[in-house]
Amino acid sequence: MEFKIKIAFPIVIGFLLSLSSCNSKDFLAMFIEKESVNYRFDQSERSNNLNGFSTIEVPSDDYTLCIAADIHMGGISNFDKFLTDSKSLNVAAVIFNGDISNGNTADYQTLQQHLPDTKQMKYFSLVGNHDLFYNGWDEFHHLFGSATFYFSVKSPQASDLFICIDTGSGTLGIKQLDWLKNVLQEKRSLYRNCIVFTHSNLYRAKHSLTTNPMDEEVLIIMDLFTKYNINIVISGHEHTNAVAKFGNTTYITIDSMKDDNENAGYEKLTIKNGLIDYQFIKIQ
Amino acid sequence: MFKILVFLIVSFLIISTSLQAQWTVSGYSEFGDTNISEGVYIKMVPMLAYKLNSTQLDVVMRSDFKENHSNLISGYKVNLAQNFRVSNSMYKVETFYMKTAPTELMREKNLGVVFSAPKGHFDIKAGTNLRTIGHSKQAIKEYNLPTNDVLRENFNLMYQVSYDLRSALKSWNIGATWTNFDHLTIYQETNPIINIHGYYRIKQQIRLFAEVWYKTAGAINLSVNYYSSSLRTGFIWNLK
Repeated sequence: MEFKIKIAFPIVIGFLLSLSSCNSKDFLAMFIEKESVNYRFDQSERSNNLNGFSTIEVPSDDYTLCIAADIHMGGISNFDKFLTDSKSLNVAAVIFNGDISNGNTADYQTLQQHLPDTKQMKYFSLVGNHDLFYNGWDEFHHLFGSATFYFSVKSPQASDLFICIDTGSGTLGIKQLDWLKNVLQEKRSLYRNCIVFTHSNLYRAKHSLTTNPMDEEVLIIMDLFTKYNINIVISGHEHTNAVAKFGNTTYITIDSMKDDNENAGYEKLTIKNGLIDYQFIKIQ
Repeated sequence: MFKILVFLIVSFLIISTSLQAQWTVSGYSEFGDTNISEGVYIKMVPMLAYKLNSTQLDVVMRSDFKENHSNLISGYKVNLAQNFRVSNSMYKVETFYMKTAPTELMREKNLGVVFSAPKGHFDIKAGTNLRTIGHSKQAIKEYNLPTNDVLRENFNLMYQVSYDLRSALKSWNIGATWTNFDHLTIYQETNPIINIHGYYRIKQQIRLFAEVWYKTAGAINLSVNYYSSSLRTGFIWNLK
């Protein structure tokens, strides 16, 4: 019996550790709720009420956004290259699509030192599961304010809507889901294109051990995306590149931009003549 | 597809009525809430099982009476099981087809196989399923969607570990289950769900049972949150 326990214990612990999607993990947060998504949404709402939602005015009808996912700060080489590339592309904005850190205070401090000047480059950040580890939500909220928000890009001919949601806990929660429904109901018809950013991927492109949102909730969200004709949904989390077309919506998953990832890169989103083109650019 | 299944099931039952057979009628109602249910939801699930020697056919249906999407028949499953003995141990292989309508526009189909190995107080199941997510015919028409446009997830791992305090056939029992699937729901392997269950045999042929389910979102490698809890009560009646 003792021999069996000796064998089984390391196997079980090894299995549980291997289930983590990335190297840096807060073991407790994987099993014990630290703060609920509803609590985070309340705080995001307060930030939204205080700061409002951004509208970026661009001089041309053709414009570009760049999106980076799973940066897992610590290493900053790829992050800096990403910002340099984005600057040279004269982007309307950049989006950090979650897991920008591993939740540590030190990661957020490094991040703060490398964030661009908002007068020179607009940026938006989504919260990812790793950003929440080690009480990371307080740091994220302090640095970025809201994790559930939208912004729009207004060009001479039309405006496009970009919605960012908090999927760091694998569920939107009833409050955020209501918010999403209301935004889509009230705003969608006012805009030409609508793109949704979520850290956790809704569609699993490959078999993996990363946790995705609950299936029944995913189907409710996809139902909304079909109903409101969402053009593109961009996610990270899975550390892979994948594209799936479902109905009139394209689901894109972006590979990690971690320094040690050989395939590290970012998604370049170009809106030209009202149409959206997307391309994954490897960091050189 | 549904009509063909009904025809096959009825044909199978008519052909085999003269043979030695065992019918079981069961059902349960479930009350609970989830992060997306907009209050308390109620589900009713009737089940019919027909056992002939070591082969069993199960038909499961589900009605959602109050949820964000009410539907008289929101899903069904046909399950064919074969029991067999190896040495002194009994094993079971099940194959199933399942179709659900979780929302107004979405449809989910699952095809799978599950292997069961009951051993003492434990019942361990492992299997795999092929999941297909598509749009309803109404959605394709109303939103001008491409036809036959589906998302697939192949070979998801299905698992279940159940432990009962007392051995089977006792007048009452309680136990716990750790799994990623239920009668008409299959979660990805990284979303485990748990229940505490028990039954009481009121007559030789009739058992009442209850299950308390608890589900979390984002377990294992997200920042875990509460997702759902529910109470299920029902009966199992062996007719013959």
